[in-house]
Amino acid sequence: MVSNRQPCPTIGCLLLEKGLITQEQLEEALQYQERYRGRLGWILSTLGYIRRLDFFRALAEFLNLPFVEGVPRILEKVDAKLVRNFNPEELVTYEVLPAQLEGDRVLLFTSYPNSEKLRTFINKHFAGKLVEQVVVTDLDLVKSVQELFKGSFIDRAVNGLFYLTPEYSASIVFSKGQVFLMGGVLVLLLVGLYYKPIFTLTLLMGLVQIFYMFSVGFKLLISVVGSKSEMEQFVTEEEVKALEEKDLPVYTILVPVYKEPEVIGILIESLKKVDYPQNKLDIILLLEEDDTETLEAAKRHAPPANWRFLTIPNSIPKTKPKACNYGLFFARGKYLTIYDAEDIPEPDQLKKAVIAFRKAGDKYMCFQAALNYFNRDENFLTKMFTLEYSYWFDYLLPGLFRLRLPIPLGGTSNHFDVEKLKEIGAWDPFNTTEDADLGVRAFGRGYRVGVINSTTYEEANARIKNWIRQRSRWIKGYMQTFLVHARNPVKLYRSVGLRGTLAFYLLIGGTPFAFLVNPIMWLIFFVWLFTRTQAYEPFFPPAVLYMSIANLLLGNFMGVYLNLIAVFKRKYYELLPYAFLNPLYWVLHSIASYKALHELFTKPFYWQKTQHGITKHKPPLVKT
Amino acid sequence: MKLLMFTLFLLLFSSYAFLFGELFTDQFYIHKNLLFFAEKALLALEGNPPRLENLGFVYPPVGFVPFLLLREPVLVSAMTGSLLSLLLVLFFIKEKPKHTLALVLLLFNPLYVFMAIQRLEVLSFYYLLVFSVFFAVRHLQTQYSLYAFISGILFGLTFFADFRSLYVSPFFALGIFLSTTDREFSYRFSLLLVKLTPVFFFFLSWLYLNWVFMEDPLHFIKSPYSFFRSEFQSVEVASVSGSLKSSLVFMLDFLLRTIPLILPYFVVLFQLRTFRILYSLPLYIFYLLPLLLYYFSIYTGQFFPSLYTSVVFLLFALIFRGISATSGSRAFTLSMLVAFLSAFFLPLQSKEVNERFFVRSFFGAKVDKELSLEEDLRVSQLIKEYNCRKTLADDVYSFPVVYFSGEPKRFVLQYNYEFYTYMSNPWLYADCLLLSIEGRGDALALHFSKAKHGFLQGYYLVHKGEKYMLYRRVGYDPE
Repeated sequence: MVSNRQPCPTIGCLLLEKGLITQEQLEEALQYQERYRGRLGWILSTLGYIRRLDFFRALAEFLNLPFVEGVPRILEKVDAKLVRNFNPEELVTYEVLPAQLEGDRVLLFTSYPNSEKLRTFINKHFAGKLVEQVVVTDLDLVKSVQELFKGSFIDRAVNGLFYLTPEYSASIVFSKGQVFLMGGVLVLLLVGLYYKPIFTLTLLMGLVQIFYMFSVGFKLLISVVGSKSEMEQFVTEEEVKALEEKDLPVYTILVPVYKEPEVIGILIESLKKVDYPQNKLDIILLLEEDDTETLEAAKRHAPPANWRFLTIPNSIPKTKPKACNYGLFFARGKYLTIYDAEDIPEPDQLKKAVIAFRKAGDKYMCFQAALNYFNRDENFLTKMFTLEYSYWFDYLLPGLFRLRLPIPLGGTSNHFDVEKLKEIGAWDPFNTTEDADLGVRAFGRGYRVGVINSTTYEEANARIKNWIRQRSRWIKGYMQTFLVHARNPVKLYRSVGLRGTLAFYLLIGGTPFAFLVNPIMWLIFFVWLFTRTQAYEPFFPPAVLYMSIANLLLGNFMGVYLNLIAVFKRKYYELLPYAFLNPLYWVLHSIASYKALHELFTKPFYWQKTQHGITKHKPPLVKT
Repeated sequence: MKLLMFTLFLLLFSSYAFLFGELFTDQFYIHKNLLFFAEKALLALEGNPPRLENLGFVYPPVGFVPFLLLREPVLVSAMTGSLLSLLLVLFFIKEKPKHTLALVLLLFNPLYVFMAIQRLEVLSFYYLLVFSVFFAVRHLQTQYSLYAFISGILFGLTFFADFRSLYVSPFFALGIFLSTTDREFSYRFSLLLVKLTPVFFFFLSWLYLNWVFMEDPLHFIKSPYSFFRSEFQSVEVASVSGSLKSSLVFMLDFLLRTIPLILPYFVVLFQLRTFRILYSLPLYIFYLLPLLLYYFSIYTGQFFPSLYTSVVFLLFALIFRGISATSGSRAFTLSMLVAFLSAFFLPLQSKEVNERFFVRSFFGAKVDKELSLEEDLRVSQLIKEYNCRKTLADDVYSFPVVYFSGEPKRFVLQYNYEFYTYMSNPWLYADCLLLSIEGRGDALALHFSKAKHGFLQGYYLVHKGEKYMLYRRVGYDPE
């Protein structure tokens, strides 16, 4: 019997005919397509109406092309020698895998058949050849490329920065020059203490006090300038509303996770509500090889087709930046951001980032969104942490941005221009605050880092031990970043200028230094307070004494007062009295700093894992 | 714009410097407070030993700070005065109210000029107070945290300019509470903490500094030279202090008598009723701060009926007029004109000798003997001429001489460890002795009772003037 049925003119019709979607879903997808552009089938699968597999199978049928499912079946047909002639990132970008070349005939696996970009690829590499296309799913294609280039990917994820610019890699903790310098200073110190102890100690004390004065003055200046961001939003609501959505580029979101099955659902739900066309989102969940529980949890939540799970092959160092570098190879977006598993970004954040990039011009490589906490009321620690972050992201970073100084990026919600990110070597996998390092490196390479007025809510560390682990990692990373960029002070000065150099020394070097020195100063102060001993007098000549008193009074006052102000922007008024308890919080910082210093020498690349999902507070619903 | 500001600064600076220089070179006049700050700063920087505690930690430090940077009173006055005036001009340029004439009338008001060049610490206090109120109001209008921050810091700094700012703190608090009745308690409480934390922190810091350097946290209150005892006590004020009602009556009477000088304040008080942004009651509380300051100063006996204090009313009037309405007001401008003109005449009868002389000098009057520093200068010269390497003196009274000498190491003063050793056997150590005749509490005059009559064992009198007696040791040979 011959069927009289006409072939479907569109893929929507075919999917409808096959019963894979309903009429309403089709209409919704068509409206979506009208609004945002893009492939209808892909829209349907990113909206979660059809499975990825069904879409690609239907696509193959619609285009009358063969379809192959599963990585093993793909790989058995691939000529590995042929593939190795290609740049794997190019294959990922063009969504194509050349399988065989025999005479004039070439066999290509593709997840985007008959597309413009496939034609570009063919014209570039196989012009005049007879091309046979075989449809595969995008995920199978990526996994096949990953399998074929496994060694290369992981090597470049680990050593890419070192190959490109070894001087910026933290894989060498101390340079030879730094070892000699530290040794020289130590010897001088010992000689000084032996022959002229009073002079040496006075000099040390004086230098510490000068540092404190500069540090307090610097933070005050930055904060005052930063507080102006309240008055002028870098990206306005009107600009977001006026954004032409059809022209929005593909946006990659990297989600590096490790053993965080309990929070993965939060992220999937919040990213579903992001105000950005789902078909233009490219979400990559980066999993470690041994982390099956998070993978299973993610699968259970059945994310739509714009999610991809990438497993990072086991290798040392086992760090987030290495995972991000790995994910970057597979990123399809023009822009890219990173979210942690427990993150809840404000829905319009990606749009604001796109606007910011368009407004700010070519010089900008990255825009940092503010980070804050949804569980701030949980306990003393979360309250203090929220105060600290409110100050850091709402005042300090905008201040650095306005003064055009290097910005140490936050751990997540930093939005990158992918091309520029790749150009400067992406993240340093040996640095435990790869984000801060990247911000400084970008600045040094002539790029700017900006700040956008959007917030991502995270889970504040609610347990002291966990907090100290996390903080020690951050401070160790600051130490690494300082050591890396201070290797060649002249080069640093030439690349970031005098203001940038001062800011770098005070912020990146000064932060851990202050935390390390504080307990010594507190001890000296309290011993004097309780004993009124005159033993200190030789080490505190008038100038040093006055500076010490000014730092004691004004420095501490400013530290507390700036935190008082920090609650206003977000209206966290109930946290304000806790700002007076900052000295206690600083003690915790110092403990973490000494742990960091110890680790810098014993296990510099060790990634102290922060345990997430331990809050008793439920994350808030994302407003759409 | 920058060029305009710089030109204006140069203009103000040179005008103030010229005026200051004229008064000093022609009439040997500088307000003694300036010399006091200058001498203490000199001791702090070049004393024996140079130490910050030589400042005394008794007076609010704002007056001393510029002298630690620039030693010449003429430079300090001209610089501080012109910077403060420029700040006001900048405020006007930024806020764009149409009261340029009123601003000019304030800047040229003789009492304002007197403060700008002779009472920089008082003018600084007024500026800090008025701008802290301005930024508090701005925060309430806009909710920007920067304004709350600046307002809090400025109000905190008023303590370092005048300890009496603590009196107005409760009213600041009240103003904030009443102006935010529509907001949640946590916000109101937060704002209160932001506003008052600096002033209390600075107060505690001052206690701490007094404890560290003077061994007693309340030294600045207990000291016989305390700021709280520094203003010359008016008999009238002394008779009403301590009584709430009498203080109020006294204040109202004083205001009434000086009303032409502060007329703009009352004009703006009347005009504020139309201010729509805030509820008028809390705004009035902010606006009434100068009155409250007056009142509590009278109540605590720390008030002297000087007329230059009218400047704080004019500043409040000008700023509040500026933030409440950008349109011009004929009544306001006219009242400023009245204030300006009356500032040429009312001070001629003032009880405060400095301002009286200053305004009289516009009409060609000569300085009163008690204000002239001619003898102070001469004595400082004599000390050098006689090559007195160690001159025992009580600088509570003779500080102008110490300052004019420019060499504090030539003196042995109370801050020196060896002062009392010198006092007990001066002829063993001191080359010269300087006594103040007019200062009834001069430590040397009290200790050496016959010295005022020209007799001092081991010394002979080399100078006797209206203010000082200078003795030189018998047989002293500097060679």
